[in-house]
Amino acid sequence: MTIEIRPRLIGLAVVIVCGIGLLPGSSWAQSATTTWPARAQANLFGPNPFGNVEVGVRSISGDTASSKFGEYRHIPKGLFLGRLAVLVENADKTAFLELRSREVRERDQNFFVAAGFARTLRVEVEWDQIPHTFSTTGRTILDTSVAGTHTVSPVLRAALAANPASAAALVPATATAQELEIRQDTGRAAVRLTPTESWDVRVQYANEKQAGTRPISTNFGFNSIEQAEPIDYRTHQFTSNVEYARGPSVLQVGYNLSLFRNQVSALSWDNPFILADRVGGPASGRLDLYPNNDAHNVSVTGATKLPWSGRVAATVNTGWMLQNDPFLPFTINAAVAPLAPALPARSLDGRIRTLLGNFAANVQPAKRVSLSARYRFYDLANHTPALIFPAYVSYDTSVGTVARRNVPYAYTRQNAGVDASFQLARGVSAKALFEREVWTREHREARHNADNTYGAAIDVAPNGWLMLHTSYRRSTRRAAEYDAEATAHFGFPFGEPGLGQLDALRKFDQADRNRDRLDGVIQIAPLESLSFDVAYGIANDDFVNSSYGLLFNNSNTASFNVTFAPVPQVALYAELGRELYSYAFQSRYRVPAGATPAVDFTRDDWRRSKRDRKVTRGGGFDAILAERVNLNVAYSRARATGLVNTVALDPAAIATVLAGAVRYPDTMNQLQALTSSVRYRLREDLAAKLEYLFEKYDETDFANDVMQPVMTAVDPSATQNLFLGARQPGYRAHIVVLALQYRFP
Amino acid sequence: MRTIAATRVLARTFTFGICLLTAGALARAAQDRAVAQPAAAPSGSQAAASGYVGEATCVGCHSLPAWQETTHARVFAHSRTAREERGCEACHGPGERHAADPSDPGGILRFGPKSRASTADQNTACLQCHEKGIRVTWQLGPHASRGVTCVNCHKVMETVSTKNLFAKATEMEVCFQCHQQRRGQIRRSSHMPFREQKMTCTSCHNPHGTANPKLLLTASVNEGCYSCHAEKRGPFLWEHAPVRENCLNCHDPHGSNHDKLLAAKRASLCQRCHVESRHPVTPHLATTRFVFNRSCQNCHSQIHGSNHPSGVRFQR
Repeated sequence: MTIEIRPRLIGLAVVIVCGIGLLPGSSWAQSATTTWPARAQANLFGPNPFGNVEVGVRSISGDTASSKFGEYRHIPKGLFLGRLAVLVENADKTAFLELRSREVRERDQNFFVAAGFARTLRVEVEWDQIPHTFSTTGRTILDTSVAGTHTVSPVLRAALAANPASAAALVPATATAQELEIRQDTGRAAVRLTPTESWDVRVQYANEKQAGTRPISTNFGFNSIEQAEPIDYRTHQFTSNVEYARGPSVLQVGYNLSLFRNQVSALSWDNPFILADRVGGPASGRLDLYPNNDAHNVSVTGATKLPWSGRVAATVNTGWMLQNDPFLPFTINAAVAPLAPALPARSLDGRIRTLLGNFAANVQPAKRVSLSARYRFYDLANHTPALIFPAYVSYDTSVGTVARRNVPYAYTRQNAGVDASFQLARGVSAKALFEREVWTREHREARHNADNTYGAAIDVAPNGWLMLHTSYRRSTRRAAEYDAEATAHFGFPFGEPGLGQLDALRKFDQADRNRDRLDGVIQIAPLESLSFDVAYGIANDDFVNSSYGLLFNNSNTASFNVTFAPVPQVALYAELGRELYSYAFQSRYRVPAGATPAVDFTRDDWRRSKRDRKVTRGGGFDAILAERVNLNVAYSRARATGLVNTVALDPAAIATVLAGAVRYPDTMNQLQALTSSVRYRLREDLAAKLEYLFEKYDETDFANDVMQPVMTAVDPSATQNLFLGARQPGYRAHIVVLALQYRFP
Repeated sequence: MRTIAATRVLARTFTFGICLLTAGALARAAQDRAVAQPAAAPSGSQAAASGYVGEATCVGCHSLPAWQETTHARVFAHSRTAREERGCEACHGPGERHAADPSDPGGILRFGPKSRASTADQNTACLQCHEKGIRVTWQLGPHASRGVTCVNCHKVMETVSTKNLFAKATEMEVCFQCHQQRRGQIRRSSHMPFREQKMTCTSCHNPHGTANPKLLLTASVNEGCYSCHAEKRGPFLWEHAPVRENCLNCHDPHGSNHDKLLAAKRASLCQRCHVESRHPVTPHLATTRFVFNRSCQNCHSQIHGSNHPSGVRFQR
């Protein structure tokens, strides 16, 4: 709803905006309470998004302690100011001011303001928050009050060092709760200037802050110390684009800048089990956190029309990724540091240059025929120096004897394709295509990959009641010059000790592969009030020449939806979806050739297969009763199960393989959501809403459910391993919302 | 070196191509301007001669209160081009025949599934004003070649979404009309904040066409991911090759039932590629620290890359 500037309305807007700062923690119920999919709900006020506000009160009960309940959202109890949207315009609608907000004074709030003059200038300012809660069950013995320097109390440390086995009793008794949540705050300002129809200038600056903690594992050899990684990132993004368009011809020039800054550059932590540094026994460890980096990007795009109703476009885009943070020393271990070699450089001077070239053209030589061709070139050139490290320090313990060299991976990807579309009849068209993709890599196993794709599509939409889109694609990828040890040849400048990769391994992203893709969607609406949607998809990857590594990776999906509106005031829907994903890979237990005895026999081959199944069900209805009451009910249940099974391929396999040839406990997660609401229109501009929501999430995951700060009860060998015990259990929430919705006149 | 040389050749070729294209575009623009000039005044006898009757004639029969609050109504109220001044006929074409005989569609262009016009003709009506900005390569994109019309996704005659004239209340509902598998994926336990309305499909894709595969906004998958995960951009001293090449080697951004949007459960995810020695090639039990919690990343935590001189195994 648009409104003209009038003192009363401006006063109301000011009061509402000022009130935002005074209200207690509150929330607009929509994101918290809307079940997915967010069905278009009948709105008693009509669809106009502007000029409305909602205030109310919310009650929550149940078990909502799990991080999954508030993973990316904040749903507090009590009074809330819901969505606010106001559009103010002058009398002739040549100037406007738009205000929008969501989740006011909550940790996922959003404010948006736009102002300008119609068609010539638009200025936007936005502030958005996104929380991300990883777990609410984390506990640690590390003092993390100083970001990046985590310590253990001397008393506890002395006790653990004297008797590591005492960790089972001491750690649970002394560990304190550890917050594991980050929040992303993004401020954005943008200006768009369109002085004429031909010119369009856009400039934007965004400043993103991420702060908080998240779980990270650190280690001393096989001894893990899981702790809270301090996150304090700033990312500055500047984007600009200038466009000149005249008729069908367009020229665009853009420049983007991104600067990432990490306020905590390293993480050091006490070894709870060792008090003083010695060779082979570090009293502390140090990890390098993500380094600062810069990125620049320049792009030019041009497009114009061709004869035969054709169009041609070309893009050149080049970018740089730069990183030159100072290196940390090899180790924090004072006893080992003097034994380490000198660093070959003070910093990396990492430089990656990307170059994209894209050319595409399309013509219609006949009324019912369309031909397209395209060529794309993307080159990632890694100009990072390759430094030789004569030795390095393994997990702050001791100086190794093997030299290593960093590997500046690089690649070039080229795509070319042609396709032809034919309109066979009104609303019926067919398409045939051929595409070829070629990868050229540096320092990877397959120096070249060529992938040829043939495809066809049929699209049928002859009238208003039938629509069919279906396509099939067959791809064959083949690798050339595959060398399983290609990376090692470069990364070990003076030779690789031990066995390295199995020669017969073919990594799935480069291996020979036959790929079949079939997908489609059919929409049938035999009546204005009744429609059916059926969608299906089959995706099979067969790694035809792989004996080891991924062997196949398949998926089958299908979904069915029906909507029915027996009368204009009532709409019902139901949905059912099924997905099945499966893969298998083969491996071999082996030990380095230098070991005695070396083990590298086909009898020790093993195979693991995985099957994930997902089933989604849902249904609901919208109804408008007596023109004043809107009733909405929606229910959905998404359930996923996973199965992992490992088999030894030879009964004579080594005991290590036979012992591990088991089926893991099945995994399961299920989200159920029920939304029901009644809205009653009190006046033309005022409605009351009563809403009840039920959410229930269940999860069973053998890898996560068992986690505790000390895990020796599960894995007796995990002595001197400490964890956060960060789990993501299920939750059950009942939410009741009572709200008033007001629409500005 | 061969790659670099090829790069240079291609860069020069494309730069030359862009220059040619720009010159051609400008020449064409000048030509279009010269040709378009006489038609820029569709009033009076010229308008009548071309079959245009003006918006006042249309609203004489067609009462459309919802239209008055739409974006296009506002634009036409402040028209800047001769085409916009035509009002209804800017999109629906000249209405003279239809006005003379209301029972005769008379060449009026209708939009939507019941239209007798081809998708190309329907879209051309929109593109005559909108073939620029993010839509500059629409005609070259996969949606155009699959018969998608603008009105499959957008609704012009009334407002049903808060922005972008979507045909549904939300952007994702628009995309899910055809991409129904994605609807199921974002419901998975591990997901980006789609359900929470903090991200949408166009956070990563431009459905109107781009120079990139999968209609991505950025030149590569990774560059798109770096726009939010800038910390993982590097370059790093020690890089993990599949990470540098493609985040999708390990992650499924549309949703997963595995932690961290992973494409497979750890340790299987890693063991598919690491057939080296000892612990990577052992089929560990679920009750070992090689499997529970973050599995391989219980030790190799810096798997996206490390800048530590001792981080060659992504442990520092």
